[in-house]
Amino acid sequence: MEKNKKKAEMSSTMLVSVILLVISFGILILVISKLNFNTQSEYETCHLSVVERGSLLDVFNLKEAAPLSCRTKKICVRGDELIDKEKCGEFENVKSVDYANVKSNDQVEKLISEEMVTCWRMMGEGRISLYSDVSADYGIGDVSSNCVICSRIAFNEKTLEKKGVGLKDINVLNYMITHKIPGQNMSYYSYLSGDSPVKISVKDNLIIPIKNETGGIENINVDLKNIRTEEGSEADEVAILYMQISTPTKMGALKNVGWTALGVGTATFVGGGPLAWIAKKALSVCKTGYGALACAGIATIAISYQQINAELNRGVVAGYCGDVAVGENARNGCSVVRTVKYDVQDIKKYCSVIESIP
Amino acid sequence: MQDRNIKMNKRGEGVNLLGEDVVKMIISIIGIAILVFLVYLIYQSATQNRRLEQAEMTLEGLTSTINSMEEIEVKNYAIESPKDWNIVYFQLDESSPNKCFGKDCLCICEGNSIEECNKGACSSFGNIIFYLGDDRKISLEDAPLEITINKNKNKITINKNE
Repeated sequence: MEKNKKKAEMSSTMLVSVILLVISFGILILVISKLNFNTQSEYETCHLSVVERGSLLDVFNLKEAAPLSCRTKKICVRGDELIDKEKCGEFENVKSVDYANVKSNDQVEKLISEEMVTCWRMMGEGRISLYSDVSADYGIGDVSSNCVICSRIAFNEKTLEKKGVGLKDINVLNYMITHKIPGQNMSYYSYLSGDSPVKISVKDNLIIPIKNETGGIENINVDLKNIRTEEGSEADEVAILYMQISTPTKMGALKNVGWTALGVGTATFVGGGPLAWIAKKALSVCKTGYGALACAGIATIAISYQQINAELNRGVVAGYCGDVAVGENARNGCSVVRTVKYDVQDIKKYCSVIESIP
Repeated sequence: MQDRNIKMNKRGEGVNLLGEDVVKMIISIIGIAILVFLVYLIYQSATQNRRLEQAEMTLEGLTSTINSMEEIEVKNYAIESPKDWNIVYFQLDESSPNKCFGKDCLCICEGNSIEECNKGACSSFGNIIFYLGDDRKISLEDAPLEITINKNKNKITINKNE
Protein backbone atom coordinates (compact mmCIF):
# COMPACT_ATOMS: atom_id res chain seq x y z
CA MET A 1 0.00 0.00 0.00
CA GLU A 2 2.81 2.34 1.08
CA LYS A 3 4.74 1.40 -2.06
CA ASN A 4 1.72 2.16 -4.30
CA LYS A 5 1.21 5.50 -2.58
CA LYS A 6 4.84 6.35 -3.20
CA LYS A 7 4.49 5.27 -6.82
CA ALA A 8 1.40 7.42 -7.29
CA GLU A 9 3.17 10.37 -5.67
CA MET A 10 6.12 9.90 -8.00
CA SER A 11 4.00 9.71 -11.11
CA SER A 12 2.00 12.81 -10.18
CA THR A 13 5.25 14.67 -9.44
CA MET A 14 6.56 13.60 -12.81
CA LEU A 15 3.36 14.66 -14.52
CA VAL A 16 3.49 18.09 -12.90
CA SER A 17 7.16 18.43 -13.86
CA VAL A 18 6.42 17.53 -17.49
CA ILE A 19 3.51 19.98 -17.61
CA LEU A 20 5.65 22.74 -16.09
CA LEU A 21 8.47 21.96 -18.51
CA VAL A 22 6.25 22.12 -21.57
CA ILE A 23 4.47 25.28 -20.37
CA SER A 24 7.81 27.00 -19.75
CA PHE A 25 8.97 25.88 -23.19
CA GLY A 26 5.80 27.34 -24.70
CA ILE A 27 6.24 30.61 -22.82
CA LEU A 28 9.88 30.76 -23.93
CA ILE A 29 8.90 30.33 -27.58
CA LEU A 30 6.15 32.95 -27.22
CA VAL A 31 8.54 35.43 -25.57
CA ILE A 32 11.21 34.87 -28.22
CA SER A 33 8.74 35.25 -31.07
CA LYS A 34 7.17 38.34 -29.51
CA LEU A 35 10.47 40.03 -28.71
CA ASN A 36 11.02 43.26 -30.51
CA PHE A 37 14.05 42.70 -32.68
CA ASN A 38 14.02 46.20 -34.16
CA THR A 39 17.22 47.09 -32.40
CA GLN A 40 19.02 44.29 -34.22
CA SER A 41 20.02 44.29 -37.83
CA GLU A 42 17.89 42.41 -40.34
CA TYR A 43 20.77 39.97 -40.67
CA GLU A 44 20.87 39.16 -36.96
CA THR A 45 17.09 38.91 -36.71
CA CYS A 46 16.97 36.46 -39.58
CA HIS A 47 19.95 34.46 -38.39
CA LEU A 48 18.51 34.19 -34.87
CA SER A 49 15.21 32.91 -36.22
CA VAL A 50 17.12 30.40 -38.37
CA VAL A 51 19.02 29.11 -35.33
CA GLU A 52 15.84 29.04 -33.27
CA ARG A 53 14.05 27.00 -35.89
CA GLY A 54 17.03 24.73 -36.41
CA SER A 55 17.00 23.83 -32.73
CA LEU A 56 13.48 22.43 -32.93
CA LEU A 57 12.89 18.75 -33.56
CA ASP A 58 12.16 17.47 -37.05
CA VAL A 59 8.82 16.02 -35.92
CA PHE A 60 5.18 16.87 -36.55
CA ASN A 61 6.05 20.03 -38.53
CA LEU A 62 7.21 21.54 -35.23
CA LYS A 63 9.66 23.78 -37.08
CA GLU A 64 6.72 25.75 -38.46
CA ALA A 65 6.07 27.01 -34.92
CA ALA A 66 9.23 29.11 -35.14
CA PRO A 67 8.69 31.44 -38.10
CA LEU A 68 11.65 32.76 -40.04
CA SER A 69 12.00 36.51 -39.58
CA CYS A 70 13.87 37.08 -42.82
CA ARG A 71 13.05 40.14 -44.86
CA THR A 72 14.05 40.52 -48.47
CA LYS A 73 16.68 43.24 -48.78
CA LYS A 74 16.01 45.52 -51.72
CA ILE A 75 19.11 46.98 -53.28
CA CYS A 76 19.16 49.59 -56.00
CA VAL A 77 22.49 49.72 -57.80
CA ARG A 78 23.12 53.11 -59.42
CA GLY A 79 25.98 55.21 -60.64
CA ASP A 80 27.75 57.22 -57.96
CA GLU A 81 26.51 60.71 -58.82
CA LEU A 82 26.88 63.70 -56.54
CA ILE A 83 23.59 65.20 -57.62
CA ASP A 84 20.70 63.80 -59.66
CA LYS A 85 20.61 60.58 -57.69
CA GLU A 86 18.03 58.39 -59.35
CA LYS A 87 15.97 55.49 -58.08
CA CYS A 88 15.44 52.08 -59.62
CA GLY A 89 12.16 51.70 -61.47
CA GLU A 90 11.41 48.39 -59.72
CA PHE A 91 11.51 50.06 -56.30
CA GLU A 92 9.89 53.34 -57.30
CA ASN A 93 7.62 53.76 -54.27
CA VAL A 94 9.13 51.15 -52.00
CA LYS A 95 10.04 52.52 -48.56
CA SER A 96 13.05 50.54 -47.42
CA VAL A 97 15.53 50.43 -50.27
CA ASP A 98 19.29 50.25 -49.84
CA TYR A 99 21.18 52.24 -52.44
CA ALA A 100 24.56 51.07 -53.68
CA ASN A 101 26.36 53.89 -55.44
CA VAL A 102 29.01 52.33 -57.66
CA LYS A 103 31.80 53.65 -59.87
CA SER A 104 33.02 50.47 -61.55
CA ASN A 105 32.09 46.97 -62.67
CA ASP A 106 34.27 45.66 -59.88
CA GLN A 107 32.01 47.21 -57.28
CA VAL A 108 28.90 45.62 -58.78
CA GLU A 109 30.63 42.23 -58.82
CA LYS A 110 31.73 42.69 -55.23
CA LEU A 111 28.22 43.65 -54.13
CA ILE A 112 26.65 40.54 -55.68
CA SER A 113 29.39 38.24 -54.35
CA GLU A 114 28.98 39.66 -50.85
CA GLU A 115 25.22 39.33 -50.97
CA MET A 116 25.58 35.65 -51.88
CA VAL A 117 28.01 34.98 -49.03
CA THR A 118 25.85 36.94 -46.59
CA CYS A 119 22.76 34.99 -47.63
CA TRP A 120 24.55 31.70 -47.18
CA ARG A 121 25.87 32.63 -43.73
CA MET A 122 22.59 34.11 -42.59
CA MET A 123 20.77 30.90 -43.44
CA GLY A 124 23.19 28.73 -41.50
CA GLU A 125 25.57 27.67 -44.30
CA GLY A 126 23.36 24.72 -45.25
CA ARG A 127 24.11 23.02 -41.95
CA ILE A 128 20.76 23.77 -40.35
CA SER A 129 17.69 21.79 -41.30
CA LEU A 130 15.01 24.45 -41.59
CA TYR A 131 12.05 22.55 -42.89
CA SER A 132 10.34 19.37 -41.88
CA ASP A 133 7.41 17.91 -43.71
CA VAL A 134 5.97 15.08 -41.72
CA SER A 135 4.07 13.52 -44.63
CA ALA A 136 7.11 13.58 -46.94
CA ASP A 137 9.29 12.16 -44.15
CA TYR A 138 7.00 9.15 -44.00
CA GLY A 139 6.92 8.90 -47.78
CA ILE A 140 3.19 9.56 -48.01
CA GLY A 141 3.05 13.22 -49.04
CA ASP A 142 4.63 15.50 -51.61
CA VAL A 143 7.98 17.10 -51.01
CA SER A 144 8.27 20.86 -51.42
CA SER A 145 11.16 23.20 -52.01
CA ASN A 146 11.34 26.10 -49.55
CA CYS A 147 13.06 29.38 -50.28
CA VAL A 148 14.05 32.59 -48.60
CA ILE A 149 14.68 35.47 -50.98
CA CYS A 150 17.62 37.18 -49.28
CA SER A 151 17.95 40.10 -51.67
CA ARG A 152 16.54 41.67 -54.77
CA ILE A 153 19.00 43.71 -56.77
CA ALA A 154 17.79 46.20 -59.36
CA PHE A 155 19.92 48.41 -61.58
CA ASN A 156 19.56 51.97 -62.73
CA GLU A 157 21.26 51.65 -66.09
CA LYS A 158 21.14 55.33 -66.97
CA THR A 159 23.32 56.43 -64.06
CA LEU A 160 25.50 53.33 -64.33
CA GLU A 161 26.26 54.08 -67.95
CA LYS A 162 27.27 57.62 -67.03
CA LYS A 163 29.90 56.10 -64.74
CA GLY A 164 31.04 53.68 -67.44
CA VAL A 165 29.56 50.63 -65.71
CA GLY A 166 28.40 48.21 -68.39
CA LEU A 167 26.21 45.46 -67.02
CA LYS A 168 26.93 43.21 -69.96
CA ASP A 169 30.58 43.11 -68.89
CA ILE A 170 29.86 42.03 -65.34
CA ASN A 171 31.56 38.74 -64.50
CA VAL A 172 30.72 37.72 -60.97
CA LEU A 173 32.28 34.28 -61.27
CA ASN A 174 35.65 35.72 -62.19
CA TYR A 175 35.41 38.13 -59.28
CA MET A 176 34.57 35.33 -56.89
CA ILE A 177 37.54 33.28 -58.05
CA THR A 178 40.06 36.10 -58.01
CA HIS A 179 39.04 38.01 -54.88
CA LYS A 180 39.26 37.12 -51.23
CA ILE A 181 36.42 37.59 -48.76
CA PRO A 182 37.29 40.65 -46.63
CA GLY A 183 39.02 39.53 -43.43
CA GLN A 184 39.46 35.97 -44.60
CA ASN A 185 42.21 34.17 -46.36
CA MET A 186 40.05 32.52 -48.99
CA SER A 187 38.28 33.60 -52.12
CA TYR A 188 34.50 33.87 -52.38
CA TYR A 189 34.61 30.92 -54.73
CA SER A 190 36.73 28.76 -52.39
CA TYR A 191 34.38 29.55 -49.54
CA LEU A 192 31.27 28.76 -51.52
CA SER A 193 32.63 25.58 -53.06
CA GLY A 194 35.13 24.47 -50.46
CA ASP A 195 34.74 22.01 -47.64
CA SER A 196 31.46 23.46 -46.42
CA PRO A 197 28.37 21.71 -47.78
CA VAL A 198 27.66 24.82 -49.79
CA LYS A 199 26.40 24.80 -53.32
CA ILE A 200 26.02 27.87 -55.43
CA SER A 201 24.21 28.44 -58.62
CA VAL A 202 24.25 31.77 -60.33
CA LYS A 203 22.85 30.46 -63.56
CA ASP A 204 23.17 29.96 -66.63
CA ASN A 205 25.76 28.79 -69.16
CA LEU A 206 29.11 28.44 -67.57
CA ILE A 207 29.56 25.09 -65.84
CA ILE A 208 32.59 24.63 -63.63
CA PRO A 209 33.37 21.01 -62.78
CA ILE A 210 34.82 20.67 -59.30
CA LYS A 211 35.86 17.64 -57.28
CA ASN A 212 33.72 16.88 -54.27
CA GLU A 213 34.82 15.25 -51.03
CA THR A 214 34.29 11.74 -52.34
CA GLY A 215 36.34 12.42 -55.42
CA GLY A 216 33.31 12.65 -57.70
CA ILE A 217 32.72 15.57 -60.02
CA GLU A 218 30.11 18.18 -59.25
CA ASN A 219 29.13 20.93 -61.57
CA ILE A 220 28.89 24.41 -60.23
CA ASN A 221 26.86 26.51 -62.49
CA VAL A 222 28.00 30.09 -62.37
CA ASP A 223 27.23 32.95 -64.67
CA LEU A 224 25.36 36.17 -64.51
CA LYS A 225 23.60 35.95 -67.79
CA ASN A 226 20.59 37.39 -66.04
CA ILE A 227 21.89 40.89 -65.77
CA ARG A 228 23.89 40.85 -68.99
CA THR A 229 21.62 42.82 -71.16
CA GLU A 230 21.38 43.26 -74.87
CA GLU A 231 22.02 46.73 -76.20
CA GLY A 232 19.02 48.93 -75.57
CA SER A 233 17.08 46.52 -73.37
CA GLU A 234 16.49 47.07 -69.67
CA ALA A 235 18.60 45.25 -67.11
CA ASP A 236 16.73 42.52 -65.32
CA GLU A 237 16.28 42.59 -61.61
CA VAL A 238 18.18 39.80 -59.86
CA ALA A 239 17.11 37.78 -56.83
CA ILE A 240 19.53 36.02 -54.53
CA LEU A 241 17.69 33.19 -52.89
CA TYR A 242 18.41 30.40 -50.49
CA MET A 243 16.73 27.12 -51.33
CA GLN A 244 16.52 24.02 -49.18
CA ILE A 245 14.91 20.73 -50.03
CA SER A 246 15.43 17.22 -48.75
CA THR A 247 13.70 13.88 -48.68
CA PRO A 248 14.52 10.58 -47.00
CA THR A 249 15.65 7.52 -48.96
CA LYS A 250 13.07 4.79 -49.57
CA MET A 251 14.60 2.81 -46.72
CA GLY A 252 14.73 5.95 -44.59
CA ALA A 253 11.00 6.60 -45.13
CA LEU A 254 10.28 2.98 -44.21
CA LYS A 255 12.44 3.29 -41.10
CA ASN A 256 10.64 6.50 -40.08
CA VAL A 257 7.31 4.68 -40.29
CA GLY A 258 8.75 1.64 -38.49
CA TRP A 259 10.23 3.63 -35.60
CA THR A 260 7.07 5.68 -35.19
CA ALA A 261 4.89 2.54 -35.27
CA LEU A 262 7.19 0.91 -32.72
CA GLY A 263 7.10 3.96 -30.46
CA VAL A 264 3.33 4.43 -30.68
CA GLY A 265 2.75 0.66 -30.32
CA THR A 266 4.94 0.38 -27.24
CA ALA A 267 3.36 3.45 -25.64
CA THR A 268 -0.12 2.07 -26.39
CA PHE A 269 0.55 -1.36 -24.91
CA VAL A 270 2.47 -0.05 -21.90
CA GLY A 271 -0.04 2.68 -21.27
CA GLY A 272 -2.99 0.28 -21.59
CA GLY A 273 -6.51 1.68 -21.84
CA PRO A 274 -8.96 1.60 -24.74
CA LEU A 275 -6.29 2.14 -27.42
CA ALA A 276 -4.39 -0.93 -26.26
CA TRP A 277 -7.64 -2.90 -26.32
CA ILE A 278 -8.33 -1.84 -29.93
CA ALA A 279 -4.73 -2.64 -30.94
CA LYS A 280 -4.90 -6.06 -29.32
CA LYS A 281 -8.20 -6.81 -31.11
CA ALA A 282 -6.71 -5.72 -34.44
CA LEU A 283 -3.69 -7.93 -33.86
CA SER A 284 -5.86 -10.89 -32.93
CA VAL A 285 -7.79 -10.43 -36.24
CA CYS A 286 -4.47 -10.51 -38.11
CA LYS A 287 -3.63 -13.82 -36.45
CA THR A 288 -6.60 -15.67 -37.97
CA GLY A 289 -6.37 -17.30 -41.44
CA TYR A 290 -8.26 -14.81 -43.66
CA GLY A 291 -7.41 -11.97 -41.31
CA ALA A 292 -3.71 -12.65 -41.77
CA LEU A 293 -4.16 -12.59 -45.55
CA ALA A 294 -6.10 -9.32 -45.40
CA CYS A 295 -3.53 -7.75 -43.04
CA ALA A 296 -0.64 -8.88 -45.29
CA GLY A 297 -2.48 -7.47 -48.33
CA ILE A 298 -3.12 -4.10 -46.68
CA ALA A 299 0.49 -3.91 -45.46
CA THR A 300 1.83 -4.75 -48.94
CA ILE A 301 -0.34 -2.11 -50.63
CA ALA A 302 0.58 0.51 -48.00
CA ILE A 303 4.32 -0.20 -48.22
CA SER A 304 4.24 -0.26 -52.05
CA TYR A 305 2.42 3.09 -52.14
CA GLN A 306 4.87 4.56 -49.66
CA GLN A 307 7.92 3.28 -51.54
CA ILE A 308 6.64 4.50 -54.93
CA ASN A 309 5.81 7.90 -53.45
CA ALA A 310 9.21 8.15 -51.73
CA GLU A 311 10.90 7.35 -55.05
CA LEU A 312 8.80 9.97 -56.86
CA ASN A 313 9.74 12.53 -54.20
CA ARG A 314 13.41 11.71 -54.71
CA GLY A 315 12.93 12.32 -58.42
CA VAL A 316 11.38 15.72 -57.68
CA VAL A 317 14.27 16.59 -55.34
CA ALA A 318 16.80 15.57 -58.01
CA GLY A 319 15.04 17.98 -60.37
CA TYR A 320 15.63 20.84 -57.92
CA CYS A 321 19.22 19.88 -57.01
CA GLY A 322 20.45 18.34 -60.26
CA ASP A 323 22.48 21.40 -61.24
CA VAL A 324 24.52 21.49 -58.04
CA ALA A 325 24.87 17.84 -57.08
CA VAL A 326 25.03 14.51 -58.82
CA GLY A 327 23.63 11.02 -58.31
CA GLU A 328 22.30 10.05 -54.91
CA ASN A 329 23.39 13.38 -53.42
CA ALA A 330 21.05 15.22 -55.77
CA ARG A 331 18.22 12.84 -54.85
CA ASN A 332 18.76 13.32 -51.11
CA GLY A 333 18.44 17.08 -51.32
CA CYS A 334 20.48 20.23 -51.18
CA SER A 335 20.85 23.69 -49.74
CA VAL A 336 21.74 26.21 -52.40
CA VAL A 337 22.26 29.91 -52.85
CA ARG A 338 20.93 30.77 -56.26
CA THR A 339 21.01 33.93 -58.26
CA VAL A 340 18.02 34.08 -60.55
CA LYS A 341 16.15 36.65 -62.53
CA TYR A 342 13.43 38.19 -60.31
CA ASP A 343 10.66 36.72 -62.32
CA VAL A 344 7.88 34.40 -61.18
CA GLN A 345 8.67 31.77 -63.81
CA ASP A 346 12.34 31.68 -62.81
CA ILE A 347 11.62 31.65 -59.10
CA LYS A 348 8.99 28.94 -59.49
CA LYS A 349 11.57 26.65 -61.05
CA TYR A 350 13.23 26.46 -57.64
CA CYS A 351 10.71 27.48 -55.01
CA SER A 352 7.33 26.02 -54.20
CA VAL A 353 7.05 28.01 -50.97
CA ILE A 354 8.67 31.37 -50.18
CA GLU A 355 9.17 31.95 -46.47
CA SER A 356 10.72 35.37 -46.47
CA ILE A 357 8.83 38.59 -45.88
CA PRO A 358 8.71 40.53 -49.18
CA MET B 1 -13.14 -18.34 6.30
CA GLN B 2 -10.14 -16.25 7.25
CA ASP B 3 -8.49 -17.22 3.98
CA ARG B 4 -11.60 -16.20 2.05
CA ASN B 5 -11.64 -12.81 3.79
CA ILE B 6 -8.05 -12.19 2.88
CA LYS B 7 -8.80 -13.06 -0.75
CA MET B 8 -11.75 -10.72 -0.74
CA ASN B 9 -9.59 -8.01 0.78
CA LYS B 10 -6.96 -8.61 -1.82
CA ARG B 11 -9.57 -8.40 -4.55
CA GLY B 12 -10.89 -5.23 -2.97
CA GLU B 13 -7.42 -3.69 -3.04
CA GLY B 14 -7.11 -4.72 -6.66
CA VAL B 15 -10.35 -2.97 -7.53
CA ASN B 16 -9.16 0.16 -5.71
CA LEU B 17 -5.88 0.13 -7.61
CA LEU B 18 -7.68 -0.17 -10.94
CA GLY B 19 -9.84 2.82 -10.02
CA GLU B 20 -6.73 4.80 -9.09
CA ASP B 21 -5.17 3.86 -12.42
CA VAL B 22 -8.25 5.03 -14.32
CA VAL B 23 -8.20 8.38 -12.53
CA LYS B 24 -4.48 8.77 -13.24
CA MET B 25 -5.05 7.84 -16.88
CA ILE B 26 -7.86 10.37 -17.25
CA ILE B 27 -5.72 13.09 -15.62
CA SER B 28 -2.83 12.19 -17.95
CA ILE B 29 -5.08 12.29 -21.03
CA ILE B 30 -6.52 15.65 -19.99
CA GLY B 31 -2.99 16.94 -19.28
CA ILE B 32 -1.71 15.73 -22.64
CA ALA B 33 -4.75 17.21 -24.41
CA ILE B 34 -4.12 20.58 -22.74
CA LEU B 35 -0.45 20.45 -23.74
CA VAL B 36 -1.28 19.49 -27.34
CA PHE B 37 -3.79 22.35 -27.46
CA LEU B 38 -1.19 24.75 -26.06
CA VAL B 39 1.39 23.67 -28.63
CA TYR B 40 -1.27 23.99 -31.37
CA LEU B 41 -2.10 27.53 -30.20
CA ILE B 42 1.57 28.54 -30.25
CA TYR B 43 1.98 26.95 -33.69
CA GLN B 44 -1.12 28.69 -35.05
CA SER B 45 -0.19 32.06 -33.61
CA ALA B 46 3.37 31.83 -34.95
CA THR B 47 2.39 30.84 -38.49
CA GLN B 48 -0.48 33.35 -38.60
CA ASN B 49 1.78 36.21 -37.51
CA ARG B 50 4.33 35.41 -40.21
CA ARG B 51 1.67 35.15 -42.90
CA LEU B 52 0.03 38.37 -41.80
CA GLU B 53 3.38 40.12 -42.06
CA GLN B 54 3.86 38.65 -45.54
CA ALA B 55 0.35 39.81 -46.48
CA GLU B 56 1.01 43.34 -45.20
CA MET B 57 4.25 43.64 -47.15
CA THR B 58 2.69 42.19 -50.30
CA LEU B 59 -0.21 44.63 -50.06
CA GLU B 60 2.20 47.50 -49.45
CA GLY B 61 4.10 46.58 -52.62
CA LEU B 62 0.89 46.20 -54.59
CA THR B 63 -0.39 49.56 -53.31
CA SER B 64 2.80 51.40 -54.26
CA THR B 65 2.77 49.76 -57.70
CA ILE B 66 -0.84 50.82 -58.29
CA ASN B 67 -0.17 54.33 -57.02
CA SER B 68 2.81 54.71 -59.34
CA MET B 69 0.83 53.69 -62.44
CA GLU B 70 -0.19 56.12 -65.15
CA GLU B 71 -3.87 56.88 -65.84
CA ILE B 72 -3.95 54.12 -68.42
CA GLU B 73 -1.33 51.44 -68.00
CA VAL B 74 -0.85 47.68 -67.79
CA LYS B 75 1.77 46.23 -65.42
CA ASN B 76 2.81 42.80 -64.22
CA TYR B 77 3.41 42.29 -60.53
CA ALA B 78 4.99 39.30 -58.78
CA ILE B 79 3.36 38.04 -55.60
CA GLU B 80 5.62 35.82 -53.50
CA SER B 81 3.45 35.10 -50.50
CA PRO B 82 1.40 34.27 -48.40
CA LYS B 83 0.64 30.99 -50.12
CA ASP B 84 -2.97 29.78 -49.93
CA TRP B 85 -4.38 33.18 -48.94
CA ASN B 86 -6.63 35.37 -51.14
CA ILE B 87 -6.79 38.88 -52.50
CA VAL B 88 -10.35 40.02 -51.83
CA TYR B 89 -12.15 43.21 -52.86
CA PHE B 90 -14.84 44.79 -50.66
CA GLN B 91 -17.10 47.47 -52.07
CA LEU B 92 -18.47 50.47 -50.21
CA ASP B 93 -22.09 49.41 -50.55
CA GLU B 94 -21.61 46.10 -48.74
CA SER B 95 -20.45 45.10 -45.29
CA SER B 96 -16.67 45.06 -45.11
CA PRO B 97 -13.89 44.37 -42.61
CA ASN B 98 -13.27 46.95 -39.86
CA LYS B 99 -9.86 47.63 -41.36
CA CYS B 100 -11.56 49.16 -44.43
CA PHE B 101 -13.06 51.99 -42.30
CA GLY B 102 -16.20 52.03 -44.41
CA LYS B 103 -14.38 52.53 -47.71
CA ASP B 104 -13.79 50.34 -50.76
CA CYS B 105 -10.78 48.22 -50.00
CA LEU B 106 -8.48 45.48 -51.14
CA CYS B 107 -7.55 42.86 -48.58
CA ILE B 108 -5.18 39.91 -48.43
CA CYS B 109 -6.67 37.37 -46.07
CA GLU B 110 -6.70 33.68 -45.28
CA GLY B 111 -10.26 33.15 -46.49
CA ASN B 112 -12.65 35.58 -48.11
CA SER B 113 -15.15 36.28 -45.34
CA ILE B 114 -15.31 39.52 -43.36
CA GLU B 115 -14.25 37.72 -40.16
CA GLU B 116 -11.19 36.26 -41.86
CA CYS B 117 -10.32 39.57 -43.51
CA ASN B 118 -10.52 41.32 -40.13
CA LYS B 119 -7.44 39.27 -39.30
CA GLY B 120 -5.79 40.02 -42.64
CA ALA B 121 -4.20 43.06 -44.27
CA CYS B 122 -6.40 45.69 -45.95
CA SER B 123 -5.82 48.91 -47.84
CA SER B 124 -8.20 51.40 -49.43
CA PHE B 125 -7.51 53.19 -52.71
CA GLY B 126 -9.83 56.20 -52.70
CA ASN B 127 -12.21 56.21 -55.62
CA ILE B 128 -10.57 53.37 -57.55
CA ILE B 129 -12.86 50.47 -58.38
CA PHE B 130 -11.36 47.00 -58.68
CA TYR B 131 -12.47 44.05 -60.72
CA LEU B 132 -10.97 40.72 -59.63
CA GLY B 133 -13.19 38.40 -61.61
CA ASP B 134 -16.71 37.19 -60.90
CA ASP B 135 -16.00 35.87 -57.41
CA ARG B 136 -14.19 39.11 -56.47
CA LYS B 137 -11.10 37.31 -55.23
CA ILE B 138 -7.80 36.02 -56.48
CA SER B 139 -6.52 32.87 -54.88
CA LEU B 140 -2.83 32.77 -53.95
CA GLU B 141 -2.79 28.99 -53.60
CA ASP B 142 -0.14 28.67 -56.30
CA ALA B 143 2.06 31.53 -55.05
CA PRO B 144 4.64 32.66 -56.10
CA LEU B 145 2.58 33.93 -58.99
CA GLU B 146 2.28 36.88 -61.33
CA ILE B 147 -0.71 39.15 -61.71
CA THR B 148 -1.51 41.67 -64.42
CA ILE B 149 -2.76 45.03 -63.22
CA ASN B 150 -4.73 46.80 -65.91
CA LYS B 151 -5.45 50.39 -64.96
CA ASN B 152 -7.94 52.44 -66.91
CA LYS B 153 -8.47 55.74 -65.12
CA ASN B 154 -10.26 54.85 -61.87
CA LYS B 155 -10.97 51.25 -62.83
CA ILE B 156 -8.45 48.51 -62.19
CA THR B 157 -8.74 44.93 -63.39
CA ILE B 158 -6.46 42.38 -61.77
CA ASN B 159 -5.93 39.01 -63.41
CA LYS B 160 -3.78 36.09 -62.44
CA ASN B 161 -1.28 35.13 -65.14
CA GLU B 162 -1.32 31.43 -65.96
